[in-house]
This record gives sequence, C-alpha cells and structure tokens, in this order.
Amino acid sequence: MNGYVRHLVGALVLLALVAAACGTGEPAPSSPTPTGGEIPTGGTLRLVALDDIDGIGTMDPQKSYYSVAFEFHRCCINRTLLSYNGKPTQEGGTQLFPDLAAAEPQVNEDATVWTFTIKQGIRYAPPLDEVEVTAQDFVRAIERVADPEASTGGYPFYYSPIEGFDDFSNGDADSISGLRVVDDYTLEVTFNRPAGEGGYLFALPASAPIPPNPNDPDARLGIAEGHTKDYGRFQVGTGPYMFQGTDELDFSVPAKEQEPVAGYVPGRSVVLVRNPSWDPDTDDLRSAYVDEIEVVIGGAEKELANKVDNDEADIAIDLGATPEQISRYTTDPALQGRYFNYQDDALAYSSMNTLVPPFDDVHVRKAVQWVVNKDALRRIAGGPETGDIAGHVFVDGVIGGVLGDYDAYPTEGGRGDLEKAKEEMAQSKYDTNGDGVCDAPECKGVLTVSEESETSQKAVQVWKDSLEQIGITLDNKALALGAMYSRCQDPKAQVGFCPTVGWGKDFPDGITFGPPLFGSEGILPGCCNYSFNGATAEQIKEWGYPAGTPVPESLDERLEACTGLVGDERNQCWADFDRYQMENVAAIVPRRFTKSSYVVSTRVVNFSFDQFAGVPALDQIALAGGGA
Amino acid sequence: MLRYLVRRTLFMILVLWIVSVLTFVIFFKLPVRDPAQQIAGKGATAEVIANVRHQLGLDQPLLEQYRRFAKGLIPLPGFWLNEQVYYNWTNRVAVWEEMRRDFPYTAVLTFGAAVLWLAIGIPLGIISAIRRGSVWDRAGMVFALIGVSAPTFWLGFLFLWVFHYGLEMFPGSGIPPQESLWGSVLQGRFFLPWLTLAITSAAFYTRMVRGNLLETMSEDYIRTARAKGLSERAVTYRHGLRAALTPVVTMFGLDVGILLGGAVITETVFNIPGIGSYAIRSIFQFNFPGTMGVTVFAAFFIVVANLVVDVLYAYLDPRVRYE
Repeated sequence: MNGYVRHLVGALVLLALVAAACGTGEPAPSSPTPTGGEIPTGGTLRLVALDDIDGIGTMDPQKSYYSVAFEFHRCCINRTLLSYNGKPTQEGGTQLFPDLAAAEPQVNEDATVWTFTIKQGIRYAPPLDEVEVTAQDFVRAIERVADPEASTGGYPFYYSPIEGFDDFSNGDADSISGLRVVDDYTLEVTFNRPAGEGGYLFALPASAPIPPNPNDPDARLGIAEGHTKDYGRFQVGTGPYMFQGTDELDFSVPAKEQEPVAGYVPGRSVVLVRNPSWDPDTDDLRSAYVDEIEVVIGGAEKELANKVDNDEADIAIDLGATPEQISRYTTDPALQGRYFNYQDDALAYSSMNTLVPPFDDVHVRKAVQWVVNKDALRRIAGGPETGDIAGHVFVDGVIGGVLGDYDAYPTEGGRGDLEKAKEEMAQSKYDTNGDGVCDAPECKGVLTVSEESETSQKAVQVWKDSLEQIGITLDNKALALGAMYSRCQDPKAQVGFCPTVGWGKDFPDGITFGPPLFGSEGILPGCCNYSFNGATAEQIKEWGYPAGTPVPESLDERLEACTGLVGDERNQCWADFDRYQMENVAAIVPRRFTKSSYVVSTRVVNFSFDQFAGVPALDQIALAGGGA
Repeated sequence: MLRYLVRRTLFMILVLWIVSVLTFVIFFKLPVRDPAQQIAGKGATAEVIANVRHQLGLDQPLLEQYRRFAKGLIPLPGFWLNEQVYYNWTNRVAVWEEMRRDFPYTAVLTFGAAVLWLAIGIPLGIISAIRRGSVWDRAGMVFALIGVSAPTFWLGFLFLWVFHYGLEMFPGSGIPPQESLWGSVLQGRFFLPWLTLAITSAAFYTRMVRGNLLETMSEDYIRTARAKGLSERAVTYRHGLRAALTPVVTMFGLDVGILLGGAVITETVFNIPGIGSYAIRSIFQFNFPGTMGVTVFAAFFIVVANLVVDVLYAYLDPRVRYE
C-alpha cells in the first residue's frame, strides 16, 4: 500500500506531485475559461515531462504505480468500472462514479459481495473495434494482477482480499474463486473480509478490462498473452484516446513478432490520438476537448519551465511550477490565470522510531510534537503555496474531511509551544530532574537520517534548534532520497528519527494511510511504517535492539475495525483512529498537507486538477481557439 | 604493423573487460538500495521480491551474474546485448533496441559539433600563431579563455536564451515526437547543441594549434626551409602546419570517441534523446543492463578512437614507426 512508490519517481518533487483529494473548504483556483461560454475543442495539447509518464514503469495498466501514469490511464486510455470526474475535491473529484459500470455497484450488507453491472455496447479501440467489453475482460485483468510476473512493481496487495486471489497468485488454484461472471454484463466480486474499499479497487488502472484476442480466443490473458513484460505498448483500451498506431497492432501473429505502438517510446515521447470507438454519449466523466496529446520526455528542469513560460509547451506534467515560477506567477498580475495551486492529498511528516530511546517514551514523543516549529519548516519548503500546516496524519481526501482543522498539538501559528513541550518532557523517564529538558545520555546524538537536498537540510537545522530546547540533539546523516527511505524503513538500521519523509494516497480512502503507516504490514518488507508500531518481541530481538526494549503498542486491531466499514462510518472510523494515534502514540509529527502548483501556457483554457491522480486532468483541458 | 594491431586489439579487449568488471562491481557491491526491491515496489511481499530477484538473476552467485552479463558483451550475433539478459529493468525494452534508437542522435550531434569546432579552432589557432601579439591573437586567446572556462550547461542555457528565446533564430530544446532525426537536422534543432559542444572544444583547439605552430616554427627544419628560399606561406602551411596539426589528430580522435559515447550535459540541456541521456536515465533508474551496455559501448568508442589515432599518427608523422 504505497503512495510512496508511486511518487518516489518524482524524486524531490515527490510531495508536490502525489495523488488527490482533501476538502478543507478552500476555494478552487479560478480556471481561465473561454469567453462566450462554449469550450473549444480540437488542437494538440503539448506536454513536457522530466521523466517517462510512467516514471520507471511501462504504462502497463497492471504495473503502473505513479501519479502521472494514473492520470493517463484515467483520462485517456483506459476506462474502468468506476472512475473519477477529473475535478478537484470541491467539484467531486474524490467521488466514485459509474464509468464502464451501468450504475453504482450493489453491495451486500457486510460489504463482502460487490456486484457490478456493465454498460452494453462499449467497444475497444481499433483494431479491436468489433470487440465489446464484457465481464470476462475484468476477470482477465484481475488474473493478470494476480500474476506476480505481470504485476511486478504494481499494487496486487490491494486485491489480496478478493477471495481466492492469493491462492491463484501462488499457483494453488486455477481461477480466482471470488470473481464470478454472472453473465456477459454482470460481474460479482466476493471478498474474504468486509471490504469497504471495494469500489476504489475497480477504479484503479489495474482493473481496466483486457480484451480477448479474436485470433486466439483460448488465450487466457487475451491480447496480453505473451506480453508479460511489455503489455503497455500493446494495450488496447476504451478511453477517448489511444496511443498513435494502436490501430496497427497485429494480434494475428505470435506476441514476439508483434510490433509495438509507435505512439509511445518509453523515456522519450508519447502521442495520443482520438480513439474512434469512444462514444461520448456513454461517458459522463470525460470531455476530451483536444484532438491529440503529445509529450516530449526529458531535458533540464529549468528549460522545461522556460518552455511553458514561453508558450512552447502547455504544461510540465510531472514537474509542476518551479519555486522561481511560483514566486513570479503569484506576484505578477499580468500572469494571473496561468497559475494553479491545489492540495494534493499528501503529507510531509517526520517519524520517530518507537523502539529507539528516547522515542520509546510516549512523553518524549509528545514533547517533540509540541516543540516543533512547523511554520519555520513550511517557510523553508517555500511558504504557504507548498501546503497547509498539518495537525493530524490522515489527509482530508481519504476521510472525507471529517477531522477538519483538528490539531492534537495546537500552537500559535504552528510555531511550537516550549512550555507544553517541557511539561511533557518532565513526565518522561529521560528527564530525571523534572526540569522539562532531557538529561539522559539517550537524548544526545540521536541517529537521524534525512534527505540530502539543501531544503531538507535547512529543515533538519530547524528540527535541531527545536529539539535542543528540550535537550535532544541529533546525529544527522544526509542521504539521497531513495537511500533515506531505505534506511528509515530498515528496522535493523535502528534509525531514531526520520525528519524529512512524506506520504500520499493511492486512492481516496483511509486504507491507503492507516495500514502502511501504522500497521504491522507496513514493516519491512512491507512499507512504510518507520515508527515500527506493531513490531513483535521476537522481531525486536531479531533486529538487534537491546534486551528490555519495550514492545510498542500494536494498532492492527484498531485498523482492522475500519477496513470492513463503508461510507461515512468508514471515514469516521479512520478519523477516530487518527485522533487516537495522535493523542496516544504520537510517533508521527505531521508537518504539512502539501499542495501542488502548476503553470500553464496562454493556450490552456478550462484547466482542471484531477484530485484522484493529483495532476492536471488532461481530458478536461481545452485549448484557446481549439489550439489554432 | 600487423603485430602491433593484434597487440593493441588484445589490449582493447582487456580494457573493455576491466571496464565491465568495474561497472559490475560498482553497481552490485556499492548498492544504494536493492534493485529487486525497487522494481518489485515498496509494497511487495518478500515472495514477490524474491521472485523479481530470481527473474533478474540476482539470486545467483556473483560470478555467475557477471558471467551472464559478460556473455552479452561478446560482439557476435546471439551474444551481443542479448535480450534475455540485456533488457531495461524498468521499462522492459531491449537495451540494444534503445541504444540503436538513440545512437544516431548522438552521432549527428558529435559529427556536426566536430565539423564546427575544427572549422573554428584550427583557423583561429593559425591566425593567432602567425599574427602573434596582434589584435587577432589577443582576440583568439580571449575566446579560448572564455571557451575553456565556460561550463557546457551554462553555454547551452545562454545560447538558448539568446538565440532561441531572445533573437528567435533557432529552434529550442527537445525533438517533437513525430519528427524524424533528419527532419530535426533540417529544422536546425541541432545547431545550438553543435555550437555549445563546439565552443569548448574549439577553444582548446585554438590554444593547441597556436602553441604547436609557434613551437614548430622555431624548429631547425623551418629555418632550413626559409633558407632554401621558400615563401613564408609555403613554410608555414606546408612544413609548419603539418607538424603542428599532428597532435590535434590525437585529440580529435579521442574527443570524437568520447562524445560518441554520449554528450551527457549537452543532450540533457537540449533534450536530445541520445546515448548520453540514456546513460543518465539508466543510472538514475537503477537499470543495470542499460548502464553496463552504454558504459562498455562508450568505452569501446574511446579505445577504438585511441587505436585509430595511433595508427593515423604513423602516417602523419614519418618519425613514428610501429613494430
């Protein structure tokens, strides 16, 4: 469960890219809309990107695990049973809508059985324009998710609760027993536990239908057969666009002899053209204003920003606005209407290891929560445009905004409260004289691992200054982003403090925050529980912690209590969990609910932000004068 | 000469082998993170990670892993960058397919720039030398100083800013997806990258030609040529320049060899999808097959360029003989 992987690829812009949702009630930035009311159609949307649109992936729907790839699948290539409207939270961007499904799914009382009815008459892009989407195509997709080779790098763990999924994945069953094709237009999905997140799973790109191969009807995986590693360049979808050259795919020859689409050269370029099979009357979610979408991949960050500034490109899709652009576009009235800033449902936070002294004492952890100057940390990150000061962990988008402005440790302007911090520290076993300042040797030189960028290192200095006031000093090791996460993740490394980590949602549900950050399943080789709540005594011993290290509280039961619920009850459950952990565990210091900023060319009208993917919604954007 | 060529070829193979071993050791013995875990994704179970490790052959003994990769470096059909081992660990495309696709861009960039830096560097060096102390000489040396001192990325951005965004004389960075390589050349998309690469090299060549020519012109045989009554022009161009340019051939060969392995900075600034860009992507994406392929490929050009230069030397300088 891993927003981290999906966004790691964006390296230092990780927190500026992540996925979607929120609901703090902040008004959406105004989009430039064309005069006259009518939104123009046509033209070519010209994007630039630092990295491939699938990061380190292949645009394979079963493997893609990256925000930009999520957007290309959603907006353009692959429709799913349920989907999102390509809008920000305030406009329903985190709500699920029927897409290939004819209506909302029917869910039984305990959310273990979900029944989807499929729209009739939906056809795939050419050359499979005679092939209609049926229930078996979704079974094919989920079976491919369960194939460990085919879904490497993806997120099969989200589908593990489907009955029989793991057995099929392990080779112990011939089919996934929880998937039942009732008829061509009805799919029944049975979970082995109440699964309130069921709908979200069928809105992820991995669940996009895979068509049968008309030339080889017995091929279990349809046209994906033989394309374990490279289906991305051989996929045929149902969205409004397709890779240029999709219509020339030849499935009559063996997979090895097939030529990939010309419109996607990994690491270099993408060309999407209209899918003639797409019928707008069957699609209430996508407007698909432009005729083509081009992406030129690669180059230097500064130059990509120059291109957007100078109207040579319309959006830098995986870059967002550079700090220099943010400063210029937010102050120059002449540039108004070309700058957008949205909450992107990611959290910048700092994590304490509950196994390492002095953070094995909850009073020390609470003292840390009180003392930190979050305002200074935000200023270093770039100011209010980079996000709102956070008082809890679950971003609004995954709990329907239930917690609002709740802050377990509220301080004036987010600048910290030394008095309250000292009150907490005085109750700690590491403050022997009760003066509110840690005087134990465990507080000196706490092993800290942080990201090596200049910005992060300035943040570490703020942390040092804050913690010194309560007697804690840090022994900071600055590492590259990936190495930092690996070290924080490794319990054997016994890192005490990770001040510069982040997390984003995969879909708008608390399950993408709770279990990975607080559950035992988030401990290596899972991800990304850096505080190690849920570790067992045996594990603690195995990892080499000293005898007598207290076993931290397991939060697994509390998390499991939420996973079976649906709707408001589910959101409330996650919110209650968040309150509980903030007030009783306090191992994560939420710093900032991050925001993403984008600059667009003067050609762009009707800009929209897809809160699900956390990037601009490519199907909602139009070009002035139809791009002429 | 034949014995010399055989010896040098064997030496080349040794160098390439050492490069491959070093690349392998750096990648596998100094890992920042586990490639299998990165490819499997952070949420992957231990089984999935083990499966990926198996797929990539990372669960085999180190020597066996090296053997698999080394086999792919044998330049014979069926061996050379074979797809079973040499595929991009991230996007699963065959490394050779990607390199074959990207190399023409690097070649065009290199040879275009080479023509330009020779056309600038040699005449400037000659003028500076034969008009020593003149305004031309001083101007040439100022150019050389600036060219040598200016970082390539800075020059690239400067040229983009002046000639593209400012004067709008040349296209900017990037190659449109639907444009062919030759289409890009005709559109002038390579001119600024050529100029960027050429300025630095031209500066070196100017200094080198000037220095060599001044030194040569003080040799005894030049005095003899003058004593024989040859015109100054004949002395300079027929006798002086030939000797002065011989070291330039060495440098030129090496420069071209190095650039054919990828002009990393220029390709990045101008977003030219060449071998240099591919190398950078491979390194940052932990794509070992790509890294190994491109490193050995680049090293190949350098050692071949060395050999060609040394052989050419024998023809250009009558004093050099190979046994």
